[in-house]
Amino acid sequence: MSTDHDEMMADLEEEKLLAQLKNVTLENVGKGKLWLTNKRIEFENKGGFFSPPHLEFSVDLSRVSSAKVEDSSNSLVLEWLNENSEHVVSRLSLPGGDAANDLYQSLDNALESLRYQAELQEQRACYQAFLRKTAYHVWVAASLLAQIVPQLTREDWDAVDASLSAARETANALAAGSAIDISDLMHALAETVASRDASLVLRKVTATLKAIGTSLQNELPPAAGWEELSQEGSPGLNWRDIRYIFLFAGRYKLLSLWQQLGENKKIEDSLPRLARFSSILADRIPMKSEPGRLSREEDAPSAISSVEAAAQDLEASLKVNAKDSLDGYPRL
Amino acid sequence: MVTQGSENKVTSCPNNHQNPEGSAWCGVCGLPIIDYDRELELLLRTVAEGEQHIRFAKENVFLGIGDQGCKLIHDFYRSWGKGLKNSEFLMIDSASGGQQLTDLRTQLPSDQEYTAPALSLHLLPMSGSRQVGYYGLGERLASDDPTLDDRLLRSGIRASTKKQTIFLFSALGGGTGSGASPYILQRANALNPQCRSLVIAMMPAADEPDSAHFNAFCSLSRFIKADQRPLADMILLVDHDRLMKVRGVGSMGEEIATEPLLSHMLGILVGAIADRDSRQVDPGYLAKMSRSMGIHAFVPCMAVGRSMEIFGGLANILSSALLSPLAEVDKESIMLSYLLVQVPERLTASLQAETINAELNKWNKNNFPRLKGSVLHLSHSSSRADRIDLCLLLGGTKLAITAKRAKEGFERFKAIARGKAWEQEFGVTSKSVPEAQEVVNWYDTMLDEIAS
Repeated sequence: MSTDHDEMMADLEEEKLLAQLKNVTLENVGKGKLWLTNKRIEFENKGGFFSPPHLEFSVDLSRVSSAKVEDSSNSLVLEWLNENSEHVVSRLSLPGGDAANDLYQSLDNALESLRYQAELQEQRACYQAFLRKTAYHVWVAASLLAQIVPQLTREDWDAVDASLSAARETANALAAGSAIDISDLMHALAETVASRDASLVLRKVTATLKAIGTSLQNELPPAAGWEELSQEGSPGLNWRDIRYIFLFAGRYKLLSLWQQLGENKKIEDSLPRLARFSSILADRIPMKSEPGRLSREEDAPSAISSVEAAAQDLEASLKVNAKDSLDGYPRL
Repeated sequence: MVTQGSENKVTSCPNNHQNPEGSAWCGVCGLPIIDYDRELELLLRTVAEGEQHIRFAKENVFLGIGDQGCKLIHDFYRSWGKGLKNSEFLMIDSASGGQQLTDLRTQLPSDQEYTAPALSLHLLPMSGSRQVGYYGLGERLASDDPTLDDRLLRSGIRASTKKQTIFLFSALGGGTGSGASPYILQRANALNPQCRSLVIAMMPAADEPDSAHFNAFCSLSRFIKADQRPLADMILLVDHDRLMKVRGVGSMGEEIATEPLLSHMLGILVGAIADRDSRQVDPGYLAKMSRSMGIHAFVPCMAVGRSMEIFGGLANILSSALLSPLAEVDKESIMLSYLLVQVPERLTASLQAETINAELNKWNKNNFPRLKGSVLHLSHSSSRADRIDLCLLLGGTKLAITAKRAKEGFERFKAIARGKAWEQEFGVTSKSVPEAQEVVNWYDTMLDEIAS
């Protein structure tokens, strides 16, 4: 999402002339004019008696891989990639004087600015990849931990073991991504599960959920180093959205238990909250259904169906996003 | 996400737009405003509230070991157990024996149908298809099962349950029942050192081979003492041949005999048959008292469905029960007498606890000259008949008498097997065989000391 946004912003930016120079000689071509804008560098061949001036090259600055000045010969060596991604070297002899120096300086500044923009764009992409992956893992971890509660009420220890095993894998992935480290808590939970004491396990599950929830209260994991990006307010996910994902997953996974136990008050309390969380998330993540807007006039059973549809959509989107982010995901 | 400004408090929406504190929706983007701290607290509270739906303590855990043990636990579960609160039922058999439980397994509730109390089956894994014919092999089978502790924990045996009684039923003639049962009870005691235990041990019939009696004797010695301390609090010895001869009458006038009679006895013991006042029935208390007295082996005497009109009084019903003990008993040696009586509603007025206690004391005095303690557990049923059920548990008779047949079979088997590779063939060391005899002798000597 951020990449599209950056490209769009770059396209919208007005093209400005930075420098122009006459009597520039392009090796093996001849003399002409050199134009430099904030977006491209162009060389216009002067033409001859029978031939009109024509554009010899017009190179987008983002395609320039190197621009070196050889002081001895007062020449500029441009290396760039053409439309066919072929490496092209253009040697330009510049007239001496301040105008040439200004052009060198402007070209250097423009390329530096472009490099910074590219780095920023890369960082934004990494940050989004980090958020997408963390969002999915937080969704999975919260879901798995919350679903242990109904499993405990059935004393279905095989199911508890399976949930715990998957939750531990997710915790490892969260720790590896430098998002949240709950590995120790998961280890402690596993030890408690081995005691087969449902009451102790439930307390440990609550403590683990609390630890994750509290970690998400922080603005960003300190190890990530993306504080500046998190303040930008650019489109896409932000750290705060992960909190809503956590709250949504936790509440949603308990819904089936309350239904099974006929705990209508808890269902009535949960549905509007789930609707609010999902309406926020629908604003960030592509979802087919938006229970936040539907639920106001719905009865409980259809509201539950809407929430279930939203949860499935959300999980699918988070999973796809996280998978797409794999390549760009940084290992910090 | 409420922040304190210089003048007014503000709160941020998901898009970081600032809104006056208390706003439900953002005035700029229209998204809901979430107080994360509050929502997190509510979520955690909701999760924690799941605790009230978790069935915690299993006060009664019923273990059936081996083929016969599994069948009895299954019958008891179907007859009486489903109505018992805070209980769990676990059948444990060897994988080869478990093949015979196929029909029974199909009757186990699935996860979806799960309702308390639960009945489940655990099969001890076997490395080969070899039959578990001997005590030592059965013990090895259980001790080699790495999942056994977990299975016991899952059935609710754990240290956090302060008041817990384990009822273990097993026929001691076979390898799995005799060998695995004491080991499993040891593990249960290790998992919950505070638990009380009551073993119903079926002794082999007279026509069974000496190996069966050998198994029973070894097993009995382990229940009496393992790792230098008593293992089972109470062992109710049931002689198979005697059980076959005892008859009772059910509430509908039907005959109750053989295994259903044992199931009925267990029902009386845990108050499962009583419709009310079953709280007065506390087998854990009986187990505790037995341990503190140092008397562990008991002989049950059953009188089921005895009519007060026909028998004319409680003393006669008690005498009727004493006439058909489920194992050999020596009246002169009895030091502990526990009476569990179930009285129908129509007799409640005439058979109050004080009346029964007075009659019991008098009857005890006439029958047991060395008696040191007596306990009455009274419960009531809504039956309109005048029939009462009673179960008398008598402790103090030496094992040389109550388990005489097993001891004789043990001696014969020992003589026959002399010179054989004990460990390889029977799974026991040659050292452990005399130890079994020493434990039984020690118990009988200790009874003499208590009596004197």
